[in-house]
Amino acid sequence: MRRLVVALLAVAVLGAGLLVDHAERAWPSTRPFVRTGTVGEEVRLWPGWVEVRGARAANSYVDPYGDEIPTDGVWVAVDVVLTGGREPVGVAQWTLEDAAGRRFQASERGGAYLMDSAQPESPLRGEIVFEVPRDALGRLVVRAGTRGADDRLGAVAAIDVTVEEVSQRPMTAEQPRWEER
Amino acid sequence: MGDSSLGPRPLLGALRRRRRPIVGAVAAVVACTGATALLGGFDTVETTTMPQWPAGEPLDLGPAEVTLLDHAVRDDVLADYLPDGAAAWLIVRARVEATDGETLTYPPEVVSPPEGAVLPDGEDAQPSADRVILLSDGTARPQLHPGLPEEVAYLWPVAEPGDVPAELQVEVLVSRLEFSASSQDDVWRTPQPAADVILPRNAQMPGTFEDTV
Amino acid sequence: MRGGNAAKVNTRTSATTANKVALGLLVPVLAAFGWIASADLRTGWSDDPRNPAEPGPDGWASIARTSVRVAGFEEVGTLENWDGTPWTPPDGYRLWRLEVEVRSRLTEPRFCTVEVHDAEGRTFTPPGPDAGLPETAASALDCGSLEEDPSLSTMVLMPVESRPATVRLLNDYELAPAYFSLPLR
Repeated sequence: MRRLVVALLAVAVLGAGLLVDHAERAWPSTRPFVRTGTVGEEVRLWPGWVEVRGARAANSYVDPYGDEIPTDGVWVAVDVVLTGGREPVGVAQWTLEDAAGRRFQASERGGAYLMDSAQPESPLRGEIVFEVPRDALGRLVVRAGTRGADDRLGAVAAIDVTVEEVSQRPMTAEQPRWEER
Repeated sequence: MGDSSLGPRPLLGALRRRRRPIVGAVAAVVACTGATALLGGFDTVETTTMPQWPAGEPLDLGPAEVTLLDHAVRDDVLADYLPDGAAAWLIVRARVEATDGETLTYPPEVVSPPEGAVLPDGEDAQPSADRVILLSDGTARPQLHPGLPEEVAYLWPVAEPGDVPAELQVEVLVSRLEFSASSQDDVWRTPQPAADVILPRNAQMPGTFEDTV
Repeated sequence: MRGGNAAKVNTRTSATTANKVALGLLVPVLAAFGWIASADLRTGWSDDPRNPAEPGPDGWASIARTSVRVAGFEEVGTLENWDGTPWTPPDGYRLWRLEVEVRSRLTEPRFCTVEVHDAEGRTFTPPGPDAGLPETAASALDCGSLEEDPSLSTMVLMPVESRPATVRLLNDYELAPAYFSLPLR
């Protein structure tokens, strides 16, 4: 009887260990705080706000120096407004997620502009540029994260936008500017 | 007389009881060693030769699918950036596509030159590439987006152009997905050589480098 | 047999006494352990700034061997672009230039980030290149030993209705939870 109890306890301990190991991966205890929204909505991105005004796509992109930047995919420019709250808000990462769940980081090519922080009550408006494969177009989610790759305890705003048409005219992104108040 | 008193008979009895554990311990050591030997634990490990894969074939290396194309040795491109002791660049051209559903922030370490071909980095005779460049526009350390394969050039400084054989055999490196407890996520780690690939020489590498010259 | 039983009874009694002594000791030992382990909790484990060093009557605020004073905080109407054209703040904003003086007996340089707090309790930091300022607004100022050409001046762009009240100079690694807190105007 005692041996049976000991054996059962050993199994229980092993099982607990396996469960904890599985739990770490399957049910992470820390995750980002995600707020969702659509075009035209101010979405909370603590300590500030982010709004997507619209998005457009084009086959070619021209950098601020007038050079065309080549791609085998398409360029998507998302018109965003970033505003601080009672403190400045910092965006460490802008990502575009397609319907298949692929996540594209904002492009660093072609002199792309960074929109990485905005002061309180001071809306910063500009376009974030992404390079994506053609089949990524359709229903997209623009994600702004206050932390970078490890976003577990950061804030994320996830905003739905649809882009289907691709302009044949070369696109130049709007550089960020402080909106007049 | 109680149990606590020690006399000659109890002492012998005590010794006899102690001998069984000693015998047991020795028996266990012999059994384990014997089992290890029987299972081949003491055999000399044969180093297996690495599989040979052809250039031009797409390879799944973990975070990316990589097609190694060819190589060149050039002293007429990015010459100003050659470090001390280097006379030329070894350029390995590859087509790389991120396959893990997310942009790769920078190109993965996927290819390793053979010893003696490139300038060592301290003790390391097979260092990571000194720089990686997007061939379409010269962007350094380019992002790689899923669904958008890109031709990239991995560059290493070379002491003498003659150090690089015309039929260059490189090692292809595979990364494993490992769970990181600190970031509570799977991460690609520890690129390890998995195969050899012979890269033909392409004296005129297309793309950015032609524009530079 | 009698002796044997007596021996056993004594052993049981001494065991019980030992247990009581140990239990008696356990409580204060656990309390001491709890006290030590909770040190971080009791002192406020976060380095969030909460000990402001405010200026004395001469305007200098001091932390250890460094003192800081506001030398100037003025509104800037216009700046000059590199091509000579004037730059003015966008409609609805005012540009302020902050200048500080630093006296330090440190032998190493140290930098402090800058926060301007307005009367409504909002926090502003020097803007990045997206504000389009013709000169870079330094995000950190010297607050240690001064090398050649120290960084002692920066700018903030604030909404027109914001009333600047205080400037804070912070350094998470070396000063926190203390920080310099200097009233403006």
